[in-house]
Amino acid sequence: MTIKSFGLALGLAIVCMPLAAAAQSGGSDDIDLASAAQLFKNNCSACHGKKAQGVASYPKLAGQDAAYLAGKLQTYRAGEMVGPNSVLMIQNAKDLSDQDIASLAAYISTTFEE
Amino acid sequence: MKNTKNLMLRNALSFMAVSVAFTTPVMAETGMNTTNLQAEVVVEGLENPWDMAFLDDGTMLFTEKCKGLSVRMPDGEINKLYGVGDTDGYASNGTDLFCEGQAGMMGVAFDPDFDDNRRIYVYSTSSMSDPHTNRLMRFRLSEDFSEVSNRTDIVDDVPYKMAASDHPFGGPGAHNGGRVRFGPEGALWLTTGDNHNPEIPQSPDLMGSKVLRIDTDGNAHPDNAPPAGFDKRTFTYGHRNVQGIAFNPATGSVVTAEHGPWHSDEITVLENGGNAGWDPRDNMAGRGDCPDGYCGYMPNQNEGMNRFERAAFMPMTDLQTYPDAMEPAWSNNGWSQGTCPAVFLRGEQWGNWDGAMAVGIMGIGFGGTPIGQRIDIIEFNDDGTEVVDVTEMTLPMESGRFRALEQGPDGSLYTAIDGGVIYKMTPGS
Repeated sequence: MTIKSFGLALGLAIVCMPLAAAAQSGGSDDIDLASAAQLFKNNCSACHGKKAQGVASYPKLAGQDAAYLAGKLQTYRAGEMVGPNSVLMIQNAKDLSDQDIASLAAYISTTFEE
Repeated sequence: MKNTKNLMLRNALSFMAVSVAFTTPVMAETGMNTTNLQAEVVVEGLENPWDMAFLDDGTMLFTEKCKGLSVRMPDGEINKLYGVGDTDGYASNGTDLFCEGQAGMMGVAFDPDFDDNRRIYVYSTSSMSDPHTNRLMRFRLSEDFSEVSNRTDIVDDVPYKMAASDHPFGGPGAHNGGRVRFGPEGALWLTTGDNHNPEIPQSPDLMGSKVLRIDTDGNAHPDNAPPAGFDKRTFTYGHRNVQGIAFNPATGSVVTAEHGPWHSDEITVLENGGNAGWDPRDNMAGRGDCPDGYCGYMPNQNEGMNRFERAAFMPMTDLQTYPDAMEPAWSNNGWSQGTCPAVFLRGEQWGNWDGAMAVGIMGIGFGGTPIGQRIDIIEFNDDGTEVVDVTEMTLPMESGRFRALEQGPDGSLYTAIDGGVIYKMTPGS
């Protein structure tokens, strides 16, 4: 299962896309870049920017390595406060699976240039 | 930076796909067909563009929050005028200017008499005072548009949040407002925010959470009518964080768009001297202690909950405590989604939307709130007092965090998104 409930009440159309991708990915723990791309587009890019460049007071993700990104997502999933925008990330990360985190970290670290 | 790359995103297939996905019937349009909007990239590769201002020939001032003030000439050439701090590449720098969190260089405006006086106005965070403040600066722009001079800080006392607090978005620099506009009668307007400071919104002399109406020297407009004891620069007070202000061309009324907390973004038709009714102090209005004395995100500031329960606990407009407060004309169906810039559309090219107000919503994904990035078209009644219809614009490009909206001299609607692009949207084909 690539995606559980992601904690955001998104519109029907944008929720359906990652769910469909999840269904196709099966139950392995493999990294699923296609699903991660949808997760990023539907949930992350609104604040971090379409190129993960960081916008407004939301930090840049481009250029960060996978271990850093995965570590931060795990920290947020555990409900730990890191910085002033932590409540947003805790809400967004709380239902991510290990595979979601690994896939997102791999996708972001390999897709966007610093 | 690349200029003027025509996107031409009038894509019927995309529109159909969106319509099917949302299973929304495609309604017959009368007058202008909103799917006919075309988008053009005016400038891209920017870093957090915050605001734009235009001359009649298309010359465009624009700000970038952490970088500075630039001008785009009608031929597309860009001159970097005044940098934030020591940012490289600008003709001169404000060494006292800085960015932090939501703060930095924000609103910008041309003087209505610019052709004669060469004056422009820019709002930015500054370290010149301690504690730091937000300042409205007046400059002279050179005849060749290559540099600014004669900086005069006509407002130097808008509060700035110096230290982090225990709140969402609780870092330094929160809630500065920031829009700068001239009204149709030539007065200068500035919107400000509450800094997560519980005392500011209802304060008579702290100039956060206010809409200021002043002259170009920073003096109070003589017709301002705030309550006794208030700073006379105050047109309205009791706001949370106003980043949109627009002037209804049909009625002359002044309308603000304002960020709500975890609920209730608001559009408000202002009344001279009016109270917008935001008062996040603790131990009042039925509330107990709140984190750092500020109840603005309570009763459950770190997790999602029903937005109407939130509104009942910590109203955006507290009509029980302040029965005479200005009631909002629209509150985004109870959601807070980052409602930011506003401008009235003018001209026959806008068809049914001529005289309606465009509002940019930046989007926030939190606790069950739909992200909601979009531009809404708000139609008022003939008196300009009530919202009679709200239509989501069918965007001719991808959505984004719509930080600024302004109508250009060509009649097109320009928008800056935080992601670094200024677009021009033109109706018709």
